[in-house]
Amino acid sequence: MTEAVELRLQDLARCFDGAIPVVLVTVSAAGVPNVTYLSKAHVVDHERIALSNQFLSKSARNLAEVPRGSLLIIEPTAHDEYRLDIAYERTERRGRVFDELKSEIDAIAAHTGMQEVFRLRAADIYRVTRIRQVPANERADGSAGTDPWTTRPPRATADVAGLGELCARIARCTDLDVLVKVTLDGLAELLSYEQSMLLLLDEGGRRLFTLASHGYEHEGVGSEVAVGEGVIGLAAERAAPVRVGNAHQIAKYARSVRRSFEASGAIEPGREIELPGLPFADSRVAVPALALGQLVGVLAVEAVASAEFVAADEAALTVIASLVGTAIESIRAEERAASAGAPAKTSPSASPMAGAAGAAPTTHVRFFAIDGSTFLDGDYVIKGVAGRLLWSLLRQYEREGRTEFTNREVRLDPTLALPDFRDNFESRLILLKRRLDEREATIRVEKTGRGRFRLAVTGNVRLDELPTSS
Amino acid sequence: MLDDDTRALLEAGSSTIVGLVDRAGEPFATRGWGSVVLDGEPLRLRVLVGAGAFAAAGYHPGAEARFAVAVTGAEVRTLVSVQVKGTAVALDEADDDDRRRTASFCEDFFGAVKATDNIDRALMERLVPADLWACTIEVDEVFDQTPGPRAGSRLDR
Repeated sequence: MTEAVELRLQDLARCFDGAIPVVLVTVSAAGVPNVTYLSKAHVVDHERIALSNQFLSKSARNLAEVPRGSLLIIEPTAHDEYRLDIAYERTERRGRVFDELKSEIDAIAAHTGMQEVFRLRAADIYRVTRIRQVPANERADGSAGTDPWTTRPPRATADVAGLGELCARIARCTDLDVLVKVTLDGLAELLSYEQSMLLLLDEGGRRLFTLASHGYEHEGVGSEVAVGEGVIGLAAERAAPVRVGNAHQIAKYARSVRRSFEASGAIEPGREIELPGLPFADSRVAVPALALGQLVGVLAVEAVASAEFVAADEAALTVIASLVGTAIESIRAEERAASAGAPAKTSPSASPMAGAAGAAPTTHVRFFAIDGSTFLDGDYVIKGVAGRLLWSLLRQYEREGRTEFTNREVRLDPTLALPDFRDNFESRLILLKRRLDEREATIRVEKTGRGRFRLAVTGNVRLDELPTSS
Repeated sequence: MLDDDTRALLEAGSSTIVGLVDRAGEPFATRGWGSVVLDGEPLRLRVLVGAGAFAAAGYHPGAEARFAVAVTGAEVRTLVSVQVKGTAVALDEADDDDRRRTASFCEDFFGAVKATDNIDRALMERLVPADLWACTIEVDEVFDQTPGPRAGSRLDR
C-alpha cells in the first residue's frame, strides 16, 4: 500500500527545487475543485511549506472557504511522485520565509527581464498533514506495478579536505592570472564543479564581464551580463547566493507568463536574457565575491542535470568566492603599489614596428573609438577598457616600436578612460591577455614581472581606426 | 461545443491534472492519462485516470458516481492551459479503446516532455498507472488556466 514508509518533509528536498512544476488542488465551499500550477514551493521547516502566491485568485478564494489542499510533487531524479495533504495556516508578506521565496521568484523574473511585473504577492504557509508516495505504475489496489528506482545520489559537496586544499592554493597566488586559473581548475579537481566561471564587476558597477571559465567548449572570456539580469546578475545585485535547479522550467514558465502579460498589454514584448554557459544547463549556483563589503565579482557553477546543487554547495562556493574576492583586491593593491615604484616608462624596445617580418602575414586591426570594439582580421576580440588598452599598446608599437610596458604608465593613459577611483586596470589587462590567448591571436600580452608586461606581436600589423561601430 | 483549440489541447498529449473532492470531502490531486471530448450534448469529457488514485479517493467503478471534478490540460511546450469543471457522471473500467487512447497520449506527451524538458521516457513511464479507469464528466465551465494574470478567466464555450 502507499504508506509503508513514513515520509518526512526533509526527505523530499529535491522535489522543491522546481525541476517539475508543483500542482495544487483546492476546493470551494460549494465543493468545486480547482487545479493550478505554482511557480515555486519552498520548505519552511520540518512540517511546513510555503507556496508562491502570484496569480492564485481562485485558489485564494477557495482557501478562505476551505483551508486545505492537495499537492502533487515529483522527485526529479527517479520521478517518484508524492501527494501531500496540506492545511493553510497563514499568509506572509514580509520576513525570512517571504524573502527566501521572493529571492527564488526574482530569479525567475530576472531570467526574462520581467522584474516589474513578475512579483511575489505573498508566501502562503501550509502545514503538511500527510505525505503519501504514489507507487510507480500504481495498481488499482494501491500497490506498485514496478520496483522502486534508486534516486540519483546527491553529488558530493562541501568536501572539507578539498575545500581546505583549494583555499590554501588560492592563498598562495600572487598574480591575478594565476589566481583565476588556480581557482577554476581547483573547483573541478578538488570539488568536482566541472563547469565554472568567474566574472568581475566593471568600472561602472553595472555589468559583469567573464574573466575566465572552466569546462566549456569556448571560454567566453569578455562575455558580459548586466547586474540584475539572470542568476549571475541577480547574485551580484543582491550580493547574495542564487541557486536554481530547474533553468528549463523557469524559462518555460516565465515565457508563458510573459506572453500572457504581453497579451494583456501590461508589458511590451521583450527579450529573454541569454545566460552565458552550458546550452542545456538546468542547475546553476551563483555566489558573490565580496571584499571589504564591496562586490568584486561573481563565481558561478552549473550542471546539465536538474536539481544538482544543494545548500551545501552555496556554502562551499561562498567560502571560495569570499577568498577569491579578497585575493583579487589584495593583488590589485599590490599591483598598484608596485606600479607606483616602477619606472614611469620603459625604454623603447626596438625600432618602430620591431619584430615585424617583411614577408610574414599581416594582422588587420580595426578599432571603433565609440565603444572600444576591436577586431582582428574581421573577428571581434574585445571592447571597452580592454579594447582601448589594446589599441593604445598597438599605436605605441606602431609609432615607437615599443613592446615593454609598465602598468603604471599605461594606467595613466587618458584614452583608456579609467575611473580615478578603484580602477580595474589589472583585471582588464588579464581579460585582454586571456582573450588573446583564447583566440590564439598573433598579438599577445605577456607578464614580465610585477607591474610590467610585454606586447608580443607575430608578423605585421595594420591599424585602422573608425569613429563609429555602424 | 468547445472551440477547436481547446478541444485539441484537452485531447492531445498535454500534461493533465485531475482535481476532485474525495469521499471525506477533502481536495485530491491526481493525473489524467488521455481525454476525449464525446459527441452530443451536454458537453462531456471522458478522462483516463489511475484506478489506484481514484480508489484512494473513495471512488470505484459501478458505484454511483456524481462528484465534482476539475481537469486541467497544459500544453507541454508553452504551458498554455485550460481547465474544465463539471460533474463526474460515470466511472468505468477502461476498455480497449481507452487503453489505446492512453498509449497514444503517452506517446505524444512523453515525446513533448523529452523535446522540451529533456526528461527521459523511462522516467515518465514510471508515472503511468498499471490499472486505468475512465471517468466521464459533464462539463459546466471552461477556464483559461495559463500561468499569468489571466489565469482563471472564463472561456466561452
